[in-house]
Amino acid sequence: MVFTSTAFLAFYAAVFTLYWLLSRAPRARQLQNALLLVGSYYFYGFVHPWFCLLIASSTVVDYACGLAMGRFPRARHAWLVVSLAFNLGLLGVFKYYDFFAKSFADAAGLFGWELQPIELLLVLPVGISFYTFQTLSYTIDVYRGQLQPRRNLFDFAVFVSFFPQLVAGPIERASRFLPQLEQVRRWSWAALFPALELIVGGYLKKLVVADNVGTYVDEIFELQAPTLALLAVGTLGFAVQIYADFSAYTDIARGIAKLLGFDLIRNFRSPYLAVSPSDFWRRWHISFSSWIRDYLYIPLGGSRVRTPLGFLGVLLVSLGLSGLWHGAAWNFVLWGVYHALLVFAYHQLKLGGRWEPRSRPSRAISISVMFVWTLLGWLLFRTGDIAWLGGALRHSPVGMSGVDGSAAAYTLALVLLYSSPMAVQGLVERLPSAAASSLGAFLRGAFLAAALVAITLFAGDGSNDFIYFRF
Amino acid sequence: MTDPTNHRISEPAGSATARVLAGLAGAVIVVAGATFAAGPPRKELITHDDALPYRTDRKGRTDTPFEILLAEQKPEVVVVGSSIVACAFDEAAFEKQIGMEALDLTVAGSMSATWYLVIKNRIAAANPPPKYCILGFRDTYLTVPEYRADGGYKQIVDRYVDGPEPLLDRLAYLSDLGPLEYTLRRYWAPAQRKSEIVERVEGFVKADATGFLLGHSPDEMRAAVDVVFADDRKQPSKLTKKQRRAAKLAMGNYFDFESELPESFLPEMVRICREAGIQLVLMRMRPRRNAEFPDDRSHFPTALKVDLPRYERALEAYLASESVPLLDFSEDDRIPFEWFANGDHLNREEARVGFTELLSEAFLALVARLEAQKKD
Repeated sequence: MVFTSTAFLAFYAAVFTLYWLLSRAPRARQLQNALLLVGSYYFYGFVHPWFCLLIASSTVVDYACGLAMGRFPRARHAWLVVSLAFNLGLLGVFKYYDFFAKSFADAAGLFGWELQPIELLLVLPVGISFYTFQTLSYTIDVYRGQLQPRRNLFDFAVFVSFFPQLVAGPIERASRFLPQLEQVRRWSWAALFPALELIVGGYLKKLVVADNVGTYVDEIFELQAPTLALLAVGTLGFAVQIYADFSAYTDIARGIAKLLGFDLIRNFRSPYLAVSPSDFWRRWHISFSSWIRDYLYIPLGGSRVRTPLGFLGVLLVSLGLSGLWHGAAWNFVLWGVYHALLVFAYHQLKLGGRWEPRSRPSRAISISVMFVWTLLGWLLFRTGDIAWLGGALRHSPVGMSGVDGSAAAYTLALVLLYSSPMAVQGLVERLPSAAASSLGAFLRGAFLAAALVAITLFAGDGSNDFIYFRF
Repeated sequence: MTDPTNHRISEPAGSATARVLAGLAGAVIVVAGATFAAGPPRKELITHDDALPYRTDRKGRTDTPFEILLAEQKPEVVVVGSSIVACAFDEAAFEKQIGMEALDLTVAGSMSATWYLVIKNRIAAANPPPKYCILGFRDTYLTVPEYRADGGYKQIVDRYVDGPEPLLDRLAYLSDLGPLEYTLRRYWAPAQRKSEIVERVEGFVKADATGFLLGHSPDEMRAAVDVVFADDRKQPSKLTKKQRRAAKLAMGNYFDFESELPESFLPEMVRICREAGIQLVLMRMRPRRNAEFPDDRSHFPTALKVDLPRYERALEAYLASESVPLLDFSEDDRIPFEWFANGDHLNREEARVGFTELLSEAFLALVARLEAQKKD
């Protein structure tokens, strides 16, 4: 079920109504959690009911591992291995097996060995990368003694399957989300307006910005030999599309969770205003990048390593795997490696970590330079075919004149047209909040209505899936 | 971009009710403004645009309306369909081969909404009506009434509208909408003019404004875009925009023939032809699947391997029950892949001649069979 479908709106209306009706019942918290659990499994199994078996098995294994770690602390290492092996095993089979089998056969072919890879051709269960990381954060935190193992299986199952953020995040931490599930939730009128702003703003970004810009981006990336000017416009468009698409999902998820009394982690913080690669990763897909930092980068010694080569090694592993998390394809791995090299280079130039420019002009220059690096990264990310990209970069004319120049200008104009709602949204968010003044309420009410009008007019006939569903 | 939920909440000025009313006032002003700008809502969802370019008839005239062609030629056989049929069919050669007066009433870009209107408002209304009406289609096109009915295609549909068309409104424009969208589309002018507004805004930005900045006319801008994004400049493995949309139809929930049939124009087209004394003949065209789906069916996705054949069997059973014959070229190996100019269309040279011969042969055999059945 996707947020942009009518089925989801009907489903959410039913869950929302029942959820708050139950708040008046005795044992309200348990009943509300039970409703969330049933609703989440219905949401997840709406198209492929067997997906529910996978998430249920992950839930039961990690619940049992958590309990076992609490009961047998000396054997907790073994239970962590069980949890890691099971969850990463599922991910490996469903997401990566075919990729590695094919890559292995291709590599063998280079040495003259003809291998026929045995491919499983399994359907990738949506959200498996997200909930696997979410549930792993629980077992690792319990292993580290940072979290008490939970005894209530149902609460834990809701944590793993909570439908607003199940299929495309944000990836919640157990230490942050489980306490919210264990508390009584009360309806708050104060949360209504901010939640509506997140939801309507999310739909605006997805249906008006991302889907429309994506149409033109696809046109360019499907050409045999786009000019460099067109490729640049296509990459800029993709930067807008992926940010609008992904942050839209997060905003809608946060908005609908807020209406149910939950506060989900913020996933983006103006990522294209980053001044350095490290800064970019503190602003982009924050719930994922902080997961990688806490459970991979730091354990690998990223914060302690002394030698440049060691540091580079940790970065390559952490960010290379981050790339691979996005998809079983070499372009994603390259994207991760590219970011690792960027972080390393900035670090060697003493511009890494928490470095900040000292003056406004130097900040503007830093942001512009970093944005160009980010665009080059997106070019790798968007291109499914590295050979095509190599050919396009080697052989394409610059193409600033004639029909190619006109087509590039035309596409740029459309990308800017459909990006403009995000700029307006950015301005509106700087206005006083609706709770602060009547003028703020008036302007924000006007913006919400304008967003709904824009959605009515500019949303396509059938919305595309959110990009991060593929991951 | 900042997070709207992270604003520091200062001491509120005025009461909560005042702020709610202020928010509502802002919203109402915007909606009222949009409604006013879009003008009054239309009672019917149809518009007329006589500026649509048309094709040349056999007397060398352009833009000759179908009703005039029908009145002048009084054909015994008419052929209806989209450019898929138009590219494959040679009216003069067909007429010669079957020995009957024939008329090509194909419309480029058309789909079942247009075919329904052409049959209802032109062919069945002709005096005398033709004896046979051959309607060409492929895959599930007969039962997807909303396909190519809106946006740029609306002008094509509207050309064959003579008055209120409640069935067209319901099936092509409103049937797929949820209750909210339905109400908006029915009664709210901005939603009704959605396609028009989007085309105007996009047209202004991409052709007028950008053209002005670059010193080109809007037509030059459009021509440049047509050249750069032409199908032959695409990677061969990629679907074109139109093919992607068509493929989406072939992959979607469109294969349940029994549930799609009542929501399609097909039963009405069958009824109208029967009541007008016209023998409707359906003609299933051969598609060349895109390079991503080699024509060997074993490589097709499940939808094409399993669902489409199931749909086709159900369609055939329905047509048999309604005594509507089917000329099926969809798997005809006499139409080689070299005949295709692209994924949908045959080339207008060798293929057109060849296909018209195949059609004539099949049609004559059908006529003989129908005549024999009548005698029996």
